[in-house]
Amino acid sequence: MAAKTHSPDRRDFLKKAVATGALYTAGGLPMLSEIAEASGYATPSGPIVVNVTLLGGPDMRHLLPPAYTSSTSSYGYNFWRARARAFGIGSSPAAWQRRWNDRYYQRGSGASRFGILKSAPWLRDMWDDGNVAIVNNVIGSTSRDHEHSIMVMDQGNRKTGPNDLIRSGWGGRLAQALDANVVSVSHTPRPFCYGAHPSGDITRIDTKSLVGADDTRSFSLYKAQTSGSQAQWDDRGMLARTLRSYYGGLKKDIDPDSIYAEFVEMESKVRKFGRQIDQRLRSVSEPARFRTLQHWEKSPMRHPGFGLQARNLHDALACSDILNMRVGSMEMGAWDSHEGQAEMIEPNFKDLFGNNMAFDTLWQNLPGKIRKRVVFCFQGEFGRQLMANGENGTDHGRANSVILIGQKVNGGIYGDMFPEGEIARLNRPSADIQGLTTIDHVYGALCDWAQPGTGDIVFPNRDSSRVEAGVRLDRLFA
Amino acid sequence: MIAIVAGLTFSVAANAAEKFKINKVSTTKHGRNYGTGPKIDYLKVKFTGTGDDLLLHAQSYDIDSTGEVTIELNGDLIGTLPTTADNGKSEGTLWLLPAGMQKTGSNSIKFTRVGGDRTWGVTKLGMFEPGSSKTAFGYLKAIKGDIKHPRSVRIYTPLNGDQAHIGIKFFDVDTSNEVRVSISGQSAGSPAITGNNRFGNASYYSIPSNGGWIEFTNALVTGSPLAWGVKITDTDRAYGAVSVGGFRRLSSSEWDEAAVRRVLHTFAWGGHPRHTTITAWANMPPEVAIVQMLNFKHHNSLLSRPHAQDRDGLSNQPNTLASIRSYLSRSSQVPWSERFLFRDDWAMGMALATSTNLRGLNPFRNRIGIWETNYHMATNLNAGVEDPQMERYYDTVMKSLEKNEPYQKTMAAAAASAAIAKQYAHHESRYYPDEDFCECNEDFAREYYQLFFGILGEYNPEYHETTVVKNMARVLTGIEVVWNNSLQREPTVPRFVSDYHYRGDLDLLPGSVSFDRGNAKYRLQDISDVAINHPESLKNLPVKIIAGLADDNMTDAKASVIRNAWASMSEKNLLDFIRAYAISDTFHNATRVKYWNSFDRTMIFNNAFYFTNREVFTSTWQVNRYDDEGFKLFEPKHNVFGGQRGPEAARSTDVFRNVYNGSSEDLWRFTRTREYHSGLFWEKNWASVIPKKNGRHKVKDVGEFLWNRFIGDGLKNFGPVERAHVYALLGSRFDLMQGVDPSSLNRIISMADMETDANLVNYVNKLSRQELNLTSSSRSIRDNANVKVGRAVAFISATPFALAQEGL
Repeated sequence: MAAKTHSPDRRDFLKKAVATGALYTAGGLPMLSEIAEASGYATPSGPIVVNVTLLGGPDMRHLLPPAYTSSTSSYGYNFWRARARAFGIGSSPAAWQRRWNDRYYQRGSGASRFGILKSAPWLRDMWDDGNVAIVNNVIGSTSRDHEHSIMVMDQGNRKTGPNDLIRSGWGGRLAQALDANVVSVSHTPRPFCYGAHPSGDITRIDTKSLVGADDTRSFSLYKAQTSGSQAQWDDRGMLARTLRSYYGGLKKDIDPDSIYAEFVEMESKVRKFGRQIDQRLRSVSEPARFRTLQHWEKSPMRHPGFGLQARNLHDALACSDILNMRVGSMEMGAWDSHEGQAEMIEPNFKDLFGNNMAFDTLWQNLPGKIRKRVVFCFQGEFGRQLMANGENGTDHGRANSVILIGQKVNGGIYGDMFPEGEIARLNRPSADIQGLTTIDHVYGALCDWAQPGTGDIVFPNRDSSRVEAGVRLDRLFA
Repeated sequence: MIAIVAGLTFSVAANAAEKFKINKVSTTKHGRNYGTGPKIDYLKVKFTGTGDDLLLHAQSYDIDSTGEVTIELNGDLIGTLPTTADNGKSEGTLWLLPAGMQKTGSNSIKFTRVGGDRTWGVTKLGMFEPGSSKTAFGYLKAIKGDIKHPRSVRIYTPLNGDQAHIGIKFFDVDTSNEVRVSISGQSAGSPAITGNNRFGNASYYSIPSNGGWIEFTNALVTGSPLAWGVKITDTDRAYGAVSVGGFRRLSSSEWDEAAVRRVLHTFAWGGHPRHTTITAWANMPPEVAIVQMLNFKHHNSLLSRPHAQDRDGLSNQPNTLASIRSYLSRSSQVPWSERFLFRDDWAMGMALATSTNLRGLNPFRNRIGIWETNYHMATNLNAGVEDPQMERYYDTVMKSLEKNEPYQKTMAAAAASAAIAKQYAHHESRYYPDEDFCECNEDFAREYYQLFFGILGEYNPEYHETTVVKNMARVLTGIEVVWNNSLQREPTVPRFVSDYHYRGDLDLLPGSVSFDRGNAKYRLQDISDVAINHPESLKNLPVKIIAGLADDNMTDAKASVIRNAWASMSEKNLLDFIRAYAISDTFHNATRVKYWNSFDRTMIFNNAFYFTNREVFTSTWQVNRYDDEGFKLFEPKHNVFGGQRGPEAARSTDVFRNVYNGSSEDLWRFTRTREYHSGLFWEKNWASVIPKKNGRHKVKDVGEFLWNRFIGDGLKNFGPVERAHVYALLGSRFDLMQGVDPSSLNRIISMADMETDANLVNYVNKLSRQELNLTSSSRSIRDNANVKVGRAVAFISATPFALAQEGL
């Protein structure tokens, strides 16, 4: 079917972009980057990896299906037949063709033709610019269990057992290897962000490199509002002063192995970064569109909270020098599409990749110096089964596609997107995408892009794990 | 007729003139050829359950043989009237009616003559509450109590009931041979001498299951009655904790107040015991104390002592979510402007959270109920589950737990709920035999095994995937939750139909077949019985329970102990397991860590901070502050994988900032001394909970009391620096830095300062001896002292020690 590895020539993409009218990038607002350049955004000290965890098992095949073809022996025909229910359409080839034509931007050619959901125009534009790598047949856990599989993905360790709750995450380990921080912009940091414990004990974690930035515009701790002779009558200030003194003392006194040391460290980080972030963000105004996206009532997003995360990421990138940020973490839930898949996940993809939605807005508001140094990694804990179930959804599978987006990405398809061998299994109960490339290689390559050599540090078992024949993940990044 | 007294309602079908009162007996005679009432062959008595154990009292008349007259509770046989001589009467006898065998609302006791001659009778009918001062029997003339049991008192467990346990205080035992105890006919020794006309300390006994009995006999009485008696202070289903193998139970010397507080913080968010109760528990053997501390009764008056100022009657209110919501939405004790909250769908979690902080209920019950329905078997109001379905789901799970059913039955009951069917969307799953087509999904088919039982299919992934999950999806067909026009909503209980249910036998876990039972409900029960004993469940489920409730640092060694303990129970009983764990060195263990999630932390604080229900009722938004940190009951952050977890909260800057700023920027929450809200008034009175030492409230003593109350670590982390800050806030108008040197307000004070700065040390020592005038007759002085306590509490609750618990 599709070529094992298809790395489109960047010149081809420019031509294609001209042909499709996408003259610049997503959002079609080329001048914004120059505007942003002039403001107070930091210049990243190095490449920044932003991991976006899509919880529940996102069906990437729904986002990126094969082209419908009328040949009954073709992959395209059999895929649409097996998946028709999950698209919420009838069982006739005409309905399948109509859906393919109406709902998908069509890209690629021949056996490599695939679609990009029309609610994801930013993804289309980034693809057309050669900034999207689709890595297929990637496998983490083999259990099809959400919790276990999420642990495997967060920890970047395929050997993690279902009860191995406390282990370091690959984002935390990468930050440690980079001597930098991982900034979590979700409400609570994912275990992806936890670092390895300096003792080498794998059952312990270290969070010194973790900075939680779940609301960058309210980052600071309360401090006394009065000074001088007024201070003594300011009860609130008195408590703030007491806590400041107390935590300051604890920082000197507390046993670093104490479970409470983490909180002392957190107070210290929030205090340290708070004032500087406040100061920086006074010169980086909050893009108006983010205020709408995160608004619980006015937001066009199904997940306004993700709008807030995108705003936080914007701010964190603007403050990457203060935060020493080289790794970021985001998350979005509601991908477990057992029932009514189309209604469930298409709005999610729109939240991520729609016009003026999370990533489009972010991209529009980032200056070029940041754009060229950041790569987004979109992944979930597992893929779905090949055949739709009886309730217009899909059930748990194992392998899936991972999507990498960034200007430094060598856009293209890595790994067989629609393996010929799947045709015979498309209608088989429980059949799923065969895992041919392990997560170690994909994330390891991302680490090596962030800083050569870190892939082996973060994924020490990489050499012994497998990669799909013919796939060159060392070419993922420019 | 029906009479309602203190929450209990009695009606007598056969004698319309009869009136019963709680904790008293009626002398009316019922039966045939007995008394002046109608001649009857059965007698039905109704009462409204309170959700707690009760004791039925009755005396029989002319019963010729065992079994002549049966006694049933809601149709379940619980015993028979004792035999007597012809035309003779038995001693008055008691039968334990466990809360779990009672129904919410109306219950019935039925006496039925099923054999013997036609003459029979029953009298001295009464219903008693364990713990009540009236629940005392013997010859108690000196204290104006019962005098109708001069020789003996006997208590039975129900014929189909579990082993039961009772706490007994003996009265006026003068010699070691005066009173004898026998259990189902076997001698169980004699109680300690008590002294004249007084009750002694409580003793605890086990009564065998299935109609076992305990009898207390005055062995010295021959002619005139002698003063003696027994007061039933407590009943409980089981000291099962002691029988769970695998755990090493703490010795009495290891079991101290710090250990008691650790248990309370973890399993009851601290609860509302009096400090004297905590001391008493610490002085009991742990296996005795834990039974009083943790049970699934609707009310646990030791764990959650009603405050004398509260007149809300909550301790008599059934503690179901439905009942509590109804109460909160109508009670005159709740500000009228707040009552709507508890009616609204979105605030159901708020009602449950609020009830966790109310005195007179049972915070342990809520702790486990919330874990079960928001973590282990989580459902989500944002995922299609409707409010009444969720309410019913919670109460269904709790009903099963309070009935002390094997744990798999609780999971089967949950699995058969409308909430689960809606959550996983199998309420529309149908099997079409003509086409051999299953219009179904695998979501719950998989998660039932994975989430409920911990079976991931590692034993044989291929078989599990292609056979077990597929077939389980077929089991879950024909479970309908269909809009009901007359209700104008969906039902709270599914309809299990055969029409669209798969009607064949299905292979499930290796070696097990789910036989066609006509519908899914019965199959779920069968399947649960198999799943609970599957090797993967035995391996994973107990670890999941303990890790979820109490240990965020599970190690292989601890997991191994936990698995062994679980495996040792032939019938898996959650309460026994938790109790045994809570008094073991696996819980009281230096490697154990419990990070409080936003809800845990808020509940622990609330339970320690609010002393009256009125304060809670008028502080609804403060009580539910966890909401600010993104935590919502019944809307779990991770959907079916549960709500915010402790380790997540511990690593959340947002949570930390909220705690920190909440103690400084929102200081008013801690220091307000009175409130008048919608006609309801309260005044903060820390003196009502902080004991005096030598008649005084010294700063040092108050500081230590507060630290233990809010942190519960036995003062382990109340070091010199913590004390310095707390003493300053309690003993002066200023903070420590200003008190020591007003020109160095921003000084950082560490241990080194406490060791080397004599001026600072002297100042702190002086503060420690200051007295707080919490009981001053002057309102302003009293207020000032209460404000100082509030400031100290604000500080304590923002220290790192309020965010997590160490295991030892």
